[in-house]
Amino acid sequence: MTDLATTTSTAGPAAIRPVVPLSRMRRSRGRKPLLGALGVALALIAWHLVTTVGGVQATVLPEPLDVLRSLGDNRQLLLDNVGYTLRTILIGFALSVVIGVSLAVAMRASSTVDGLLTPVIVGIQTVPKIALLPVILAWFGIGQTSGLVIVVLITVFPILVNTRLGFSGVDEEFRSLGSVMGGSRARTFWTIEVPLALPAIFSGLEVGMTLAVTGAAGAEMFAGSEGIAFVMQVASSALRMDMAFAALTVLTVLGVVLYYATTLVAWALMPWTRGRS
Amino acid sequence: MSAPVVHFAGVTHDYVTPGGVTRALDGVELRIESGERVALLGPSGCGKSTLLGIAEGLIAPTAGGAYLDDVKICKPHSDAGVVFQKDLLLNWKTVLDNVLLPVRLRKERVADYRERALALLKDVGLADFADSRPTELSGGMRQRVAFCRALVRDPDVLLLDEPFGALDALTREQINTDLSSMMDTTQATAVLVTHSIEEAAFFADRIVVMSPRPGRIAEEIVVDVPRPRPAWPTVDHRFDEVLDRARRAITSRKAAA
Repeated sequence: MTDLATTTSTAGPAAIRPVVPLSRMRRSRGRKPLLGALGVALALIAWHLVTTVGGVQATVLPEPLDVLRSLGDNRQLLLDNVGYTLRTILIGFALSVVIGVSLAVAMRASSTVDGLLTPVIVGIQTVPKIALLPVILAWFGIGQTSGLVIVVLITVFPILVNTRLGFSGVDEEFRSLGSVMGGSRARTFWTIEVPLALPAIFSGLEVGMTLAVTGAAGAEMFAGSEGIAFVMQVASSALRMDMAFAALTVLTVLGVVLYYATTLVAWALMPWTRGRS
Repeated sequence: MSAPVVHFAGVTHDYVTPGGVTRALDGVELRIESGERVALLGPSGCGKSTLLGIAEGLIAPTAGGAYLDDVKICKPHSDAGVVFQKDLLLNWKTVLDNVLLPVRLRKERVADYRERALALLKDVGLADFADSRPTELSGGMRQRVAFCRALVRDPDVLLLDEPFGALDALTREQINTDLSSMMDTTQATAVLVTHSIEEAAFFADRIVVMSPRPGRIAEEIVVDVPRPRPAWPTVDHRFDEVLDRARRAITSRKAAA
């Protein structure tokens, strides 16, 4: 359908490319990051005022400058632990991609597999993963394995569901096209259907990545002995709020960076979807 | 090797709908000779696209069957070049790679067909767009690429399923003219499904008018205008009688229904 929309809007030999006023494009492109930076600055100033003029105690909410100092002082500790967390996230995410995408492909290839797996998947997906924490802890103990299990459990579903949605969203006529052109079912699938489903797959990956960060952090708090969220947990129980917030800052930056890295990969892999939406 | 005869023998097809069984085609008997061009003309619901789907091997008829020469068509086959109503171009591939898609899907050597693909694009005035993406093209240009894709392996059968249906009237006329010059390069047996009388008259050696519910052949009109046919039928008086007969065939059916 998007094809139809873009082609009708550019119909006629003269209008080959969509016309967007260049001046407007430049202005909105340049303004957006500036506005974003201003928003962050305003939030930081508000925070600063609440803790200084507002008289909120440092054991409740530390001053932004103290957090900054703590970031510098505990540089090595934070770096070591964020490295640990990053490993949990990336390994867990990679496992989820492999499992989620393979299951979706298998379900697309065979309606028997689809019929068998659908109720199981809906069932597991409905279970609140947090409720599984004690069980996972009992099975895998405290440490990175538990963390990985939680990350995978929480990340695999959005990837699986979106990939499946992407495949079922492929216009039936494309499959007809593949078969009347002599493509085998498998070849049509990999040549035509997978690229058509990529945007949906990547929206699953983007959701999955933010959930992987959440899962890793949650796992470290309840079943961890290392990691940036573990540091946060220990620091806040010792009422070292400056350090807890320093760790929180690192975790937030990590989440944002990983999310944008995912969108960047999508952007690089799918040049044909640029400039839409 | 000459192009095959396309033969529909007693084709009946029922669709199961929530409201019951609908008979889309009722004992259709039609023989299209080697190299002949036939237009299936009729209002929507007359089963003309179903008939083409059976020839493509995408639809299995309830009774009877379609034959290429004497071989029954049972499953999708790549002997035919097919153009659908939607261009179905792959936006992540270049225009040239889109034209070469049938070659890739069949795992044949792409290099063997490159020259031909480029020549076809040149024929339809898209030589400069070989390396562009389909998203940069207009609807009419995209459909022209779809035609090149259908012709790239020089098929002996062409099945065209309302290929101009999604285009505006002016673009349709232009592409029809382009198509007729492309058709001059092929000896294929060709079937065009359309609901445009002018398109049918311009394209075909014989117009088969179909009537709906159930789909049947209502009338056959021979278009006795020699090729090449340079002008669009509405401005060329040699087509007057054909257009008139086709129009009457369709409207009298409508009045009866």
